[in-house]
Order: sequence, then C-alpha cells, then structure tokens
Amino acid sequence: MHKPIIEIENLIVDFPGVRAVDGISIKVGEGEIFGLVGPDGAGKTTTIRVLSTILKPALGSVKIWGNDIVLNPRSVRGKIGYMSQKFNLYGDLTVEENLRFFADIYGLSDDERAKRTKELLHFARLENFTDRRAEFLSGGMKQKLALACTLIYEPKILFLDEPTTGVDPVSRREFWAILSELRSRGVTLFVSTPYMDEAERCSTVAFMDGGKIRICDSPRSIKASFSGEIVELTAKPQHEARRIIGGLSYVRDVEVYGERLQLTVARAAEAVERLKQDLSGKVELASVAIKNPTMESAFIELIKEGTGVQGMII
Amino acid sequence: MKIIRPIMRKEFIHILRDPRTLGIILFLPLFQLLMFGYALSLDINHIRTAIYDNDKTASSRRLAENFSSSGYFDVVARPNRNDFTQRLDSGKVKVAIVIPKGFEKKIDSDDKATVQVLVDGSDPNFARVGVAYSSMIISRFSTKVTTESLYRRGIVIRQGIPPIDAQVRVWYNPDLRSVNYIVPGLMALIMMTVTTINISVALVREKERGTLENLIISPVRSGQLIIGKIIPYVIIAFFEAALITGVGTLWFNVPMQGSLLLLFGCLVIYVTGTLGMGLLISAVTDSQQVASFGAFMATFLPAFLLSGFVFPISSMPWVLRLISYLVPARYFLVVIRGIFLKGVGAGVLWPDIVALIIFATLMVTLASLRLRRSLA
Repeated sequence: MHKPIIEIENLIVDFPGVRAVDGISIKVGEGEIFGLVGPDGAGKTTTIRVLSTILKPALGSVKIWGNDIVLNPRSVRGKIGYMSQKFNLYGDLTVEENLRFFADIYGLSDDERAKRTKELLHFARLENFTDRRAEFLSGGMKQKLALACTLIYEPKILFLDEPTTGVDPVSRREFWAILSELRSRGVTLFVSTPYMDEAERCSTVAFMDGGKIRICDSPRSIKASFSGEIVELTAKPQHEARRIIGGLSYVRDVEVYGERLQLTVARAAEAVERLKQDLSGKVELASVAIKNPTMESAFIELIKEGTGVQGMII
Repeated sequence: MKIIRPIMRKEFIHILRDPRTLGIILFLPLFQLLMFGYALSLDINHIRTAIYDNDKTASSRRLAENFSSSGYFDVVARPNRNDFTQRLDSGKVKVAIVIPKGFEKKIDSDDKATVQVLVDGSDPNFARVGVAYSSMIISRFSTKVTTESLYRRGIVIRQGIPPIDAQVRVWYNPDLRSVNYIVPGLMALIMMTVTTINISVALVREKERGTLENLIISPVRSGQLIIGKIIPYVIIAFFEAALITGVGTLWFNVPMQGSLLLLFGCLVIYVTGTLGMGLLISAVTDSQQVASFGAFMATFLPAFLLSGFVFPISSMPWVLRLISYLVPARYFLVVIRGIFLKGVGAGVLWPDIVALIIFATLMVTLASLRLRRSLA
C-alpha cells in the first residue's frame, strides 16, 4: 500500500435505536480505488457521509492527509469531493448552470471555469445537453453531471456513494471508465457499491455487513482466501438435482443461479467425477464445469460462516 | 462577495423558474391589497334605515329629510305599520327611527318631544356609528327648532345655540378616510408575509433535495449562504413595495407626504429582518410544508392582530401588549404611517427604526448561527 491518506480508527456512528457503523478501522492509500461492498443497510452510506464531513460520528477518529476531520472539517473541505447516491444537484438549473455554480462557490477564475467546463462536458459526454435542465436528464446523465460538478474543482479525493445504482449497464461501464481515468490522474477514489463486478475493479475491497468490516484486502487475495472450489452444473429437472446434491456429504454448499446450480466443494476435479456417478439415471445432466471462485462466492462464504476467515477479520 | 454572487444568481433562477413562487410574489400582494383595500373599509355609511313617521306633519317630514340627506343613512322603507321588530329581526334594516304621533304638536307647545331610535346592536361597530350619527342629526335638528322658536318670539341669540362651538380639525387625514390608514398598513403586512413565507422554503428545500450537502462540504460559510439567499428577496421586496405604493397612491388616492427614500430605506431594514426570520424557520424545520405553515403562523396572525394594523395596541391587555413588542410589523407600521400620512422624518421615527435594525440584526445572526450548527 502507498502511504495512507485516509485513516479511520474505531469509527462508531449511532442513529436513534441503531448502531449504523460499529467500530470500523480502514486505511486507504493514495491513488487507490477503494471499494466498500455490502448489502443494503450495511452502513456504507453512513461511512461515506462521515468521511465527506457531512455527518459527525459518535466515536472514533478519521484523518485525511493527517488532519482530524471530526474536529476540524474545514481543513479538508474544498479538497474533497462527494457524490451522493441520491441525485442532489439543482434540477431547475441547466447542466451548464449547475457546473458554473460549483465552479463559482469553489472560487475558480472565469478562465479556469471555462476551460474545465469544456473539458468535463466532453469527459462526461454531455456537450449536447448544456442547456437542458438537470431534472430532465436520464439517470445515467444525471450521475455523470453530478460527477462533473464534483470534479470541476479538481478534488484530490473523491467519495462516491453507490454512483451507479439505478443506472443502465452501458452507462455503468462508461462511468467506470471515467473513474479509471481519474485514478490514472492520481485521484484517490473511495466508492461504495452493491455490485460485485464493480468491486472487482477496485484495488482494495472492504466487505461491510451489519456496521462492521468483515474483510479488507485486494480482490485477488479475497478470492484466494476462499477455501473451496466451485463446480457449476445444469440438470433437469433442477429441483430434483438440487435435492439429491443437498444430501451429498462432499458438497459444502449449493446456490441456484437461474438455470445453473453452483456448488462449493473441497476438490473440484474429484467432485465432478463423483457427481456424474451420483446423478446418473436420476436426472439428466446437461453440463458440468469447474469455475474460478468469484468475490461473490467468497463473500457468501463469509456471511454464512458469520465471523469470516481467521486472520482476515479487522 | 465572490461566493455570495453565485448563490444570489442561483436563487434568482430558482425564483424565476418556479411558477408557484413567482405567482405568490407577483399576484398575492396585489390581490391582498385590492381585497383588503376594499373589504376592510372602516368607514361606515349607507346604513339601511326605516323611518316610521306616525306624525305625518311638516316637522316630522323635516326630521326624516335630515336623516335621508345626511349620507350616512339609506332610508330604504317608510312603512305605515309599526313593524320595526320584524325588520330589525330579519336584518333588513339596521336602524329604525320612530317618530310618534303628536311630535309637531309637542314641539309647538314647548313640550319635550321624543323620537325613538332603535339600533341593531349585533354588530357593535355599526351600532356605535348609527347611534352617534342619529344623535348628532337629532341634536342639530332640535338646535334649529329651538333657534326658530326663540326667533319667532323675538329673541335673537347672536352667538348661536349651543353657546360653545367646538372647532374640530383633523390633522394628517382630514377626511378620516380609513383607506389612508389601511393601505400603508397593508404594505407592512404584505411585505412581512410574502417575504417570510417565500424564503422559509428556500433552505428547507435544499435539505429535502440533498443539495445542502454539496454546500456543507464546500468552502461556503453559513453567513455567506444566508446573505446570498436574502439579497434576491430584498430586491424583489423592493419591487413589490414600489407596486403597492403605486397602486396605493394612484388607485386608492392615498397621499404620500414624506420621503420615498426614507420609506424604502426602512423597508430594506424591515424585510431583512423578516427574511432572516424566514430563514431561521427554514433552518429549524425539515419539510417545506412545515416551514411555510410555520412562516404563515409566525407572520400573518401577529402582523394582522398584534401590530396595530387594525386594532390599537393601547387597548390590548398587557400580555398582548408585551408580545406586540416582538412583532416587527409594529415598528414598521409606525414608520410607514408616519411617512405616508404625517410626512415626518427620521428625526421623529428613529426609535422605531432602531427597533427594526435590532430585529434585523438579531434574526440574521440567529439564522446563521443555527445554520452553522448544521454546516459544521
């Protein structure tokens, strides 16, 4: 890891009746894309709102560039960017007026503003919509405009809260291409997402659940931590196949993904042979294959085990 | 200033692109002005009256004539039957004048003649005026009758009867037109409600839509945000005040005796205070509905009831008199009526101007302190 520019220590945030964030500690290195993954209600949004100085925590310390932002939020304001999950620009202002407002309150000069606006409109592919009111943009365009408004003052750290939720797949890919480019320019990105494919694009991923961080590592190490191997098969009738497999001693877990059944086993090659035997004559086995473990399988294992892999818990 | 200007510009765009706000700003004041200007007339005339002339003589007809020509009473009936109970019960007439049989005979024989005046007291305001006018008409009539009777006997009283004549001169509003009193007061009332209600949603809307978060993490300070939001509304208030002054002087013929410059100067102080109050309400509430309802309650009722707009503060119980000190319209009313009707200047009005300055400073400070708590 590069030298950490965000250091969270034992962060606790309480809402009436709920502990939304329950003592998390994270270090984020400069130039990373840090992914915060987890189900709804895990505490991702709350964590990001604390990091962006919008919310004050109950306990714990958060340092950005070594400044304690809980005690002194102004020390980082103007240098960090925040993009909320909910569209929060002015709907009655046009694309250009929104950009201009952000440029002005961050004190950009007229020349800087003109240059950056042109660049960002191109960057976000919004050149043809400059006079459209933000409320009439599509979901994907709204998110790109929100990102553009955040980028106009060139923050060095960007906090993005589920930036692609509710956005179509094409726009999602486009959006991540933009994030990758930002990273190559040296911007540190802290992204929360419910999507596993997006988590795979991050340099470090923290899996959050119930206000706690269950695991925090690179996607590769997380996948490597998965103790089993994966076998995927399709069989007819599926429910019958599932019933039989559920009773087999060498299958640790079985999940249904549409037509496919995903099995967690200790040794895949051996399991394939035994499955062919055990299922023959009872169901029609259409296909069977060995798969690489994904982040999703690793996380599902973690959730099911409750406490996670030893040594990985933070 | 570099940060206040974009906030102002943005706020202007919000106002101009929102038909609802624009409607409230443009039409509500005009509507209120015309409605109150006509409906809230305190001048009472054209009182519906029935005259029961049971005497049918020259004297009784002269008295009846004095009533009908006064301008205060509309004689709508001269029934032959004495059915005044029915007519007063049904509200067809507010006043019944009953001249008894033998009225003229009693006058001529130096006896005391009586005239019965029945007044519908269910509307005390009407009744009071009816009683006053009818007593005045009857007393003038009897003075005339006495003078004539003495003259016929050869006695001439040069000084006239009664011997003392009150020389009453009404200053500032010589015709006692209540519209002269109402219209400047309306300006105080309208400016307060319109400004406060409009700005009260301006901040809470940013909370509801999440746009305040962007401002929280920006370098914008709470004071800058408050000032940037207030100035556009002050400018709008300026135009509204000009509109009200124009309609008031040209349409309602309210005289403008004093300095327009002083009037508008005081107006800026006044609306800065009411706008600060609106933002304070906005800062402590979480939804637009609650904010605008709160703003309405905090402005309209106190400004209407406790400012001296219609009901004199001096005749209120002491608790309400104390509360009225907190109503900024109270001070502005003194200022605006002083300037409009009396033509007096800052030399006379300074205590109320100082009160307005204190109110404005207090409100803007409280609003930005309260906002700073959510920004920090």
